[in-house]
Amino acid sequence: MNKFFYILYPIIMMFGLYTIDNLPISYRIFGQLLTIDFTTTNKLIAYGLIIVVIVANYYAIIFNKKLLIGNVYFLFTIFTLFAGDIFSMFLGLELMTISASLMLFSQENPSSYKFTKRYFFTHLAAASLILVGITYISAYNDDQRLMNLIQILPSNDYTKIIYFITLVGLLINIAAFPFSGWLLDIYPNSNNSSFIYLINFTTKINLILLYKLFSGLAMLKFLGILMIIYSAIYIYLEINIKRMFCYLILNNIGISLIAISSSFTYFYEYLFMDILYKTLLALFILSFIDNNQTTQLTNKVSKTNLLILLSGWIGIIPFLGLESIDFTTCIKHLITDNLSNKLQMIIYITNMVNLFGILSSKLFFTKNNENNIASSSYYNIIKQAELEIRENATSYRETPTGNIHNFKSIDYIYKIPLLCLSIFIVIINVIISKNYPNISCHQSIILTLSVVGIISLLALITKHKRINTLPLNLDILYIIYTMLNYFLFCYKLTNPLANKNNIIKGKFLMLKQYLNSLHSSTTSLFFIFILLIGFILSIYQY
Amino acid sequence: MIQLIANPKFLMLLPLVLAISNIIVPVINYHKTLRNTLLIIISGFFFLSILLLGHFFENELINFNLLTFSQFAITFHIESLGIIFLNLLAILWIFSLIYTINYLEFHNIPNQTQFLFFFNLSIFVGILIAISANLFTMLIFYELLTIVTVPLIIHQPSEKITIGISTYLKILLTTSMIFFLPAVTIIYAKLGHGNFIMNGILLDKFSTVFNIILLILFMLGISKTAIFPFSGWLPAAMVATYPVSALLHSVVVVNSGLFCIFKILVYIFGLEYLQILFHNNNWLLFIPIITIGYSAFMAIRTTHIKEILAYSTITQLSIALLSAFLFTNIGIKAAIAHMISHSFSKITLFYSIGIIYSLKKAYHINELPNTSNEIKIVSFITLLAVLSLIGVPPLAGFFSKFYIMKAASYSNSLLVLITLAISSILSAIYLTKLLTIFYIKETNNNNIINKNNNILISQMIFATICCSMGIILFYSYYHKIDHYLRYI
Repeated sequence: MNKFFYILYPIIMMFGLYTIDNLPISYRIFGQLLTIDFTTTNKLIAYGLIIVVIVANYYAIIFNKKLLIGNVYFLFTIFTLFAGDIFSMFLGLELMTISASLMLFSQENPSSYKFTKRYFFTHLAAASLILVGITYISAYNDDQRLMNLIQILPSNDYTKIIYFITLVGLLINIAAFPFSGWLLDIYPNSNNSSFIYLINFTTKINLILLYKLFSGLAMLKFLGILMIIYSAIYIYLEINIKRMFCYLILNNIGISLIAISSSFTYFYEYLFMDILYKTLLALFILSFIDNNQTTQLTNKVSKTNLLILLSGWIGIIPFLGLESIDFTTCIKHLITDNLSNKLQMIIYITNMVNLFGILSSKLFFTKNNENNIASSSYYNIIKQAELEIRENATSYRETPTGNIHNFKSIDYIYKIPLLCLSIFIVIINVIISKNYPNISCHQSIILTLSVVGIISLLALITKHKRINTLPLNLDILYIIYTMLNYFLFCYKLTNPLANKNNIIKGKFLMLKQYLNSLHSSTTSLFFIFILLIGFILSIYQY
Repeated sequence: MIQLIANPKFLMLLPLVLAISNIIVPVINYHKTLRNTLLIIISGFFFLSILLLGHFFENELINFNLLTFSQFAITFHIESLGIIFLNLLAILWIFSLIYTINYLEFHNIPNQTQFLFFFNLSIFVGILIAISANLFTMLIFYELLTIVTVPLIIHQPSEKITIGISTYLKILLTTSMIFFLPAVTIIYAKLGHGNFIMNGILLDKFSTVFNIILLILFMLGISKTAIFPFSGWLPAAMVATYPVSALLHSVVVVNSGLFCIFKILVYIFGLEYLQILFHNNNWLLFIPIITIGYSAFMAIRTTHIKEILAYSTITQLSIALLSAFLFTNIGIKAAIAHMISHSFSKITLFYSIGIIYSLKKAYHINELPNTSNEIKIVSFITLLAVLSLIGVPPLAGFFSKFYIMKAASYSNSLLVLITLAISSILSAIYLTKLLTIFYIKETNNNNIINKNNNILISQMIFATICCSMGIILFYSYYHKIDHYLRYI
């Protein structure tokens, strides 16, 4: 009953949202006039997020994972989405950070402590920067609705700095290059159920906020293109399937940034479809991971069910570049239409490199019967042993129950949501295309088909070595934090995973002695007398 | 009856009489229950009397002259800032008494009469600082506060405590004698008085440079604000028991320091005059900024629970000073809001950590794993207090930080905005290391050593929860602060 509730309440919520008028509701709390903005576009994204939470809850129920924190995270995401003013936006963002951090922390695998800390500090840093902007707007503008900052802030040098600080805060939150390190390190290391929640919530909400506050900012276009190129290279190189998927997320963020830079009209529609496709792909990838019990892209992969494989292909449609068969691809082309021919060509080529990178993972062609490790007795023994260890380990609470080692049932578990989601996406594509007659496709189908065909063939026949990539990261906070940890050995004692290092300890003791000598009462008295002499001399002079 | 209640002298004397009677009550040591009940009831009545005073107070200066020696007079008055400080002291007095009485019983601390006497006396001296009407009165009771807290710190003497108290006295007394006293003397010598008057008394009395020197003398002399390099007394005083530490950090001592600075800025120099003085370059902001950086660095390096809390206090005090040094009305209001929010957050944190110490005898953070499983409510309250100190909405710390940032935005002070943003991150780094260890589970670490006296622990938890309400409901009483400060 309890678990059934987690599937039921998002559906009720969806109907509730559908019936509410598309009008803003204002209320006064904490002395601020807060607004909940039920616009159609916000509702559209909310529907997408509700579908995600249904899928994620289904996954968590089947695998007996924790549901509560993930759903709290979802509710705060919805609150932030409908925030109509800067104050509730900030409140929502902070609550999202706390709930997501709790979700990461509750995983209780050895790395959860480290990644939670990183997630929390990164988002806290971003929130602090955003708060600088919010207080400034609050001080100089009576109207605190979420509006384009260029329109509401006075134009002077000081405002430009504030504007830039707020922008950086939001860019850190959406994991824009070069601040994308946190996403690429934390998401792949989260457990599977948290992964579905994480990939859609934080970055999407912050993209929407970026659109509301900074739409039309030209510099975002170049950042977007940079991200597309960066992600394409790393998709080709990455061996970890979850991290490869995270690079795909970066690719989509890049496209979204281009859309924001041109104040793209159908931005929300694009994001809605992106949420659906990404959820489908995430489920497909998780089915691969659960089937093979590995996140590594090796050639020894298990046989995949045809239906699951088909849903995977539906999931990569937006990357195929076949704009005539899908609404999202059409929108993607429209987004890049405003760019110059050279930039369009760069994006087109990058898209093809991207496609090659995805397809060369062989994920979408898997039917290797000979090396099917899932069916081998050796694998079953390992799996059984692992299951026993998990059941006995008290520190690892999220023990999978049910017959997880029965691989047919795993396929069955995934078939239902993948099938439902695939059908839903097809239907939505049909409906939405009829509602948006303006979005027309104009590319030569034969040419695109030929290019995609050649790339698919090349991806199938070529082999290249994949590696564990190290993302480019300018997470300044993380660098400072690591340095502090290095120099201040004492702090390492708080980390149960840290090893003691005598050299660092020696350095630390020297530093400690030095600081202590600075902070003794004798030094204070010395300061007092120096200052006193200074004051006497100053008074004497005047 | 109403006429009697509304009589200014009655309004002023009633809380003083109640406070004095609460100092005497600990003498009834032959009947502990009666003593404890009386202490809490009188502190409750004291709170009500302060509420009455606040209700009838409409920016009318109520003066009360106690003694006069030549031009030096010990005079008290009621004004906006004082009312706010009195309210804070009154509400925290009730909960700190509930907590302290139970803490003393739980740990079987000897000479409880003496302890409670000095405990109440410290708060009483704090009250007198709050209502001081001139610099001389303020100086006298400022010094007295330092002295009356000494018996509390050395209540259970040891070598460590002797070293701690030596640093405490050396720094606090030396700075006030060398900087605070000369500044007061100079003003009295030139003006013949040091009365607190709206918009200040120093305009056109000294040269600009001399006024700046006087301001610096006050700043360094009132080292209860723990500015660098005179912040060493605060970690040194951490050798005391948890109720005393809470008293020093959240109730009376550091708040008195901040209060004195605010009062001197508003009533001796005047905010408008200070704005003119620092119009071109407000270099004074760098003093709290350096203190914030230094204390955060020290807090990150240590694993000792009390040291982390001490350095956190230094950071928060400097944030309040940062706001006050903007020299604007909104800056002073934000600084007061921050003083109050910090008081509630820190007292909650001290009391919850005090409960954990009572049960686990933990001195270092690496002795704290599994705490969240063992003492769930206290862990949750600690979480709230930590999040408030970091500045997470909708808790008290966020609002005060938001008001300071707003004040900085009005003054176009990007330096303050950035400092606040960085200080939040630094606070998060050292406070979350305290917090996360609570939630780490170690199967072989189950070291609750004292499971007796559940009633005493429950009452301590009750006091802590009451204090935590101040964090949660901060905004609901912020408009009251705004109301009192409308004339500043």
